[in-house]
Amino acid sequence: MLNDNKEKLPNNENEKRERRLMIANAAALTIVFAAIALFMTFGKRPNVSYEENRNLEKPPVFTWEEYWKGNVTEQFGKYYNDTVPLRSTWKLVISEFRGHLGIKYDGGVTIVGKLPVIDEPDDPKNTSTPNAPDNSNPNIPAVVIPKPENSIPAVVIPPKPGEQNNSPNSQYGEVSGRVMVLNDGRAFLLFKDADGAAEFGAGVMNSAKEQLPDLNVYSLIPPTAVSFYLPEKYAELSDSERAYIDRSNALMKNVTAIDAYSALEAHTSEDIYFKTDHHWTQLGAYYAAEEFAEAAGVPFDELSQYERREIPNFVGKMYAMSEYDAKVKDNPETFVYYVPRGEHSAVYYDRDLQNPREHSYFYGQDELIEPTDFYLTYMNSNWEIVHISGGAQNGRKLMILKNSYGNALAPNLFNSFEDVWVVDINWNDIDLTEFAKQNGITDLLYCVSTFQYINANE
Amino acid sequence: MIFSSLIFTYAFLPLCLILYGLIKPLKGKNAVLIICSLFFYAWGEPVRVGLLLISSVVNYFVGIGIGGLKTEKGKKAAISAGLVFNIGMIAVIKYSGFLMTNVNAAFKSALPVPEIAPLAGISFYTFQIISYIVDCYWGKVEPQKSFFKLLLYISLFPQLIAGPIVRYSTIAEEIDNRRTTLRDYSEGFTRFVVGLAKKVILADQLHRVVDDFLGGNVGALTIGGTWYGVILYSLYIYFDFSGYSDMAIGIGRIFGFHFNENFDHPYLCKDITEFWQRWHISLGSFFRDYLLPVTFFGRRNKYLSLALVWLCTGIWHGASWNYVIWGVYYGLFIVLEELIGKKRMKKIPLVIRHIYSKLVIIIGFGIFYFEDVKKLGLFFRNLTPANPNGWLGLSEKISVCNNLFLIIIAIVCTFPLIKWFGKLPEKFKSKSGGAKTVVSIAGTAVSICLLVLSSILMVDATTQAFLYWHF
Repeated sequence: MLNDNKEKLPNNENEKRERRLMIANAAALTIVFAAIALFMTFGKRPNVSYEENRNLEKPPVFTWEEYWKGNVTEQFGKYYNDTVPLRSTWKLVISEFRGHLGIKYDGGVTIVGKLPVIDEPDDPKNTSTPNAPDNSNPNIPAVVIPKPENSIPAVVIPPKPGEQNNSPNSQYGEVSGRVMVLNDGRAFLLFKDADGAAEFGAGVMNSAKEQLPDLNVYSLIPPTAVSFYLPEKYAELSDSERAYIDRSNALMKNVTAIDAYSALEAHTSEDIYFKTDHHWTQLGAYYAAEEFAEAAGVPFDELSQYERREIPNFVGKMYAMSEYDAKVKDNPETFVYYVPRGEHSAVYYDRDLQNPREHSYFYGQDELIEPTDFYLTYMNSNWEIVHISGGAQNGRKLMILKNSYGNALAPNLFNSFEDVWVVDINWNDIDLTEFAKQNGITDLLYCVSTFQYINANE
Repeated sequence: MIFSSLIFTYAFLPLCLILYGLIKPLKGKNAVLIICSLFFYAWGEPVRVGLLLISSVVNYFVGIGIGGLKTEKGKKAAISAGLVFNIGMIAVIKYSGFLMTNVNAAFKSALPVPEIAPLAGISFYTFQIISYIVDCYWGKVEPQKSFFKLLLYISLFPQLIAGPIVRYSTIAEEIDNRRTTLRDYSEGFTRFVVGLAKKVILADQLHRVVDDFLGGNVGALTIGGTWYGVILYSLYIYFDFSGYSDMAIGIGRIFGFHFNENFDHPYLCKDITEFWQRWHISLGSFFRDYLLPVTFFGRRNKYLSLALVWLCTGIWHGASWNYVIWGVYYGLFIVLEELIGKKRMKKIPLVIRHIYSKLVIIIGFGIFYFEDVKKLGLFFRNLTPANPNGWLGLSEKISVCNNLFLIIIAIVCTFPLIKWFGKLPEKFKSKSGGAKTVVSIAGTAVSICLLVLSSILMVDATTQAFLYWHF
């Protein structure tokens, strides 16, 4: 390619030196460049990221139709980049690099992510039903506005049955916001309250009670880890979830508010939240469920009656959400879950209540759709409706209308009700009012975390 | 395909270089470049190549028409047809949706709003084409008789997507007669690496912080947080865009093309007029050379002409009101400086001029950032003591600490370090040339480090496209 032979030959020592230096520069860069290119071309490409709990992008299947849509090249680009040889190593190097872009604040706490976008409540264009979050831009959460005429939420644009979405948060819908990582690797989402959000949640539940007056309706709003583990000196970074929950509870009309906050507050020295994931543990959910069972007047098993199981080396979603903060990755934890006594057959349905199939409520590690996202041990996804024949013969039938927090809550109630239906508030395609009537539901429990109506995509 | 992606850098570019190197005749090399450029442009959206080809064909005949027609009237008709076609095409594709939305809003009508997806690079290559046909009309260049050579000029992938806006006259000779010298290859490669590093090591890292502050709930930012976000955004946009230009110029040189510079350390400017002589030079010079001479308002009314130029500069950047405001904003400062006059401007203490120019630039980039006018209003409020969120929050303190070195390095890199570095041997007055050797070897070592680090960071970087990609 070079035509340097045609260049004027160097006529003095300086020019000769300059030419030698140019050759050295060009050769050095070319060698390094070629070495990396060869590594990229022939290096072994991974297909799973264990650190991020996800399957990596797959190569495209070529069809001319897809090519003209641009999908083939786009997918190939994603695949090429996502499956870089030694990917995990490079991710770690990147994390280390970013950790050295500045000085440590207070020993090393970090914050990444945006403040949630809170749209004005009076803006009609943002008005939407709680069950239809705007998925057009999953990174921009928006508060949804109460509409009194809304009945029990139904719906959304879920993936097709069997469809897998490989985005890091895909199983639970998007969770976004500002993430704080403490020195010990504990990471959590900072909470940003929004005018109208708590009111909206209360409106949904009140509306349900109005439409189903014979049902016992309960509201259990799980706070998140930020309420209990944010050091006092950083208090200004997060709004109060307690205030949010109190505001919501104060608006309840014939809906029983369950004080999960206080129940959890009494156990903060225990592992009630994951350090590396944005969820509570089943233990945390157990204490909240206990509070609910008492209010509902149903039996409740002692923790000692459960079979305790452990999966070591769990690094949850906060690793990706903290933009791969090494502190999170370097502090893996044990995923502990509790299997209730007795046999509980679980029937899974598609989001429109079709295609029933049986499977345990708990999934094995080798079955998870994301290989090391152990929170998927519960139900393995969010987009299926699950019916569990409970262990109690008390004529009480429970429907849990939940976001992903409800996944860990449900097993604690299998022996408290005759029937337990687990339905995701964001991922169902049924008329829940009719459903409740047809299935003889006696108790309706809303279990949606504080972020549900702030980050409407959660 | 974007330059700062692994697939471009380590799959497309090497393949392109190998093919280009294997083929000896210039005709063959040109063919390789055309095929590679069309493949590059088709990546992710093959249909857009069709529009580029249509535009190339039309403008080829416009050029031929201008050259072939004997009468001034005929030439005028040809250039008019060419301008109508090119401006019409960009207006329909880029601005029709914006226009109809505003018509509907103004007249409370419900006319259908065209939803045309943004077409990467259309503003850049259309402006290149306009410069070509106008230069043909003005007799500055000979119309290109070979369609494929014109297509090569229009589609040349290093500058196709995000500039610089290369004039036909700049590379006309090189299309027919070029060679890559050792110097071209060595300096071009180094330039590419420097551009890549600017983009991946600086711009992308800055963007993460910017996005944390300006990309979220701008209404909740403190005064400090707002200034912090917009200052970092000003740094980000410089490294993002100038990094792309460096890569384009570098790749161009590897293939034997010599594009003009697009940036000249713009943050060293002392006033806004100077800023625009240093920032996106190819766009500024395009308007200076092709729009300013057109006497819409009579030769004497240069202020109205300037206002038109700046309005067009703003609109060129996008179909959104903030770009219009941004253009008018700069137009006002340019006119103001014209009114003050160069001599009087120079009498203002240098420190004051630097503070003034940086403030105008930083606030200007705030206007540039917020396409949502409501958020723009909140941004302006939050820059001032009217901000209800206070002066400084913990988030900013933590972020500044966590990114302190990045910020310092970014600021330092706005200075002409490479130029200073290159002049070091002269300072040492080394006769033996030892200093030059040391500087050169050190430069090579730094380039290798930058290439390796950039390559690693690209594992994370490909989702972050160049900002000017969509203009």
